[in-house]
Amino acid sequence: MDVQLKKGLLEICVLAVLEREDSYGYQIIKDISPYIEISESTLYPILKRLDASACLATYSVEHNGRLRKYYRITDLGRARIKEFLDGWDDVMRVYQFIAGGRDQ
Amino acid sequence: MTKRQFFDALSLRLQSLPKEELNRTITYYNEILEDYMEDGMTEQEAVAQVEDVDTIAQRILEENAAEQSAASQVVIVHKEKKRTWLIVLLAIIGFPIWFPILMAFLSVIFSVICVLFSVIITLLCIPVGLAGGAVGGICLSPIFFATGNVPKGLILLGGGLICASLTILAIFAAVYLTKWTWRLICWICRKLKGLFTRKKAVA
Repeated sequence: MDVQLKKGLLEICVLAVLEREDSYGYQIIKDISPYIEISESTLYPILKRLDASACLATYSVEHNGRLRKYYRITDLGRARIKEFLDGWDDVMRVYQFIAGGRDQ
Repeated sequence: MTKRQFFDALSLRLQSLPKEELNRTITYYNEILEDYMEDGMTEQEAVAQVEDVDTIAQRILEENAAEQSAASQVVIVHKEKKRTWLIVLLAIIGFPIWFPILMAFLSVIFSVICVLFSVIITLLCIPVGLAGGAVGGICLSPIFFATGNVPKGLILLGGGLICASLTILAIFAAVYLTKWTWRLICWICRKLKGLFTRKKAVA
């Protein structure tokens, strides 16, 4: 998959995971992995970016004597998902145009 | 590789990062490794599970560089905005100084253009005058011939013919010089326009 496209999709995937429930790094990777390839080192900058753009908020919870960083989606993050879904019709139109051109 | 070795190697490669950023990275990977171990992996297996240190470090450094350049662009935009404000402010405060200078400058340019126009008119007048002389001389000479004053008639006819030839030369000269004077005026106007309009092709 195209690197830029994958980057954009991964951001929305992370937000989609967090929309279901607050989560932490390892769990996010486990939840997304069946659908799209993601590694720890790809997730890290995505979380950083989403945090910087206020699409998510963080808090720490004690777990087995250590701290675990949890991520929570914000309204801005939800808006991003909606924006993505709304924009997908346009993407499909372009897809059909590209695919249709190859059939002939 | 133990966790300790992993973090030592990672810290070494991320030396150039700000301390805070480095700590955040280590906290993140430490948590992930702990989670792997909690899921039943040994410390070595957990470290082997994540990508190698070089790949991780390279990605973080690239990402950081991209952020930095984005941030510096924002700073540049802010600076440019500030500079525009400064120029506007200076223009308002300096009005009593720059306005008379500008007017004086424009007046000088205007008078230069006027002079050049009069040069054109003068250049065109010379052949007209010479042509008048030629026509007068040639037309009036027969009167002297008719009255028997041949020497006066010859002088007048000769003068007329000389005027006629000079007229032809003067027309060529006038056309040539007028063309160049006109080009000079156009050049001055273009320069003047260039002074007051922003250059478009600025890369």
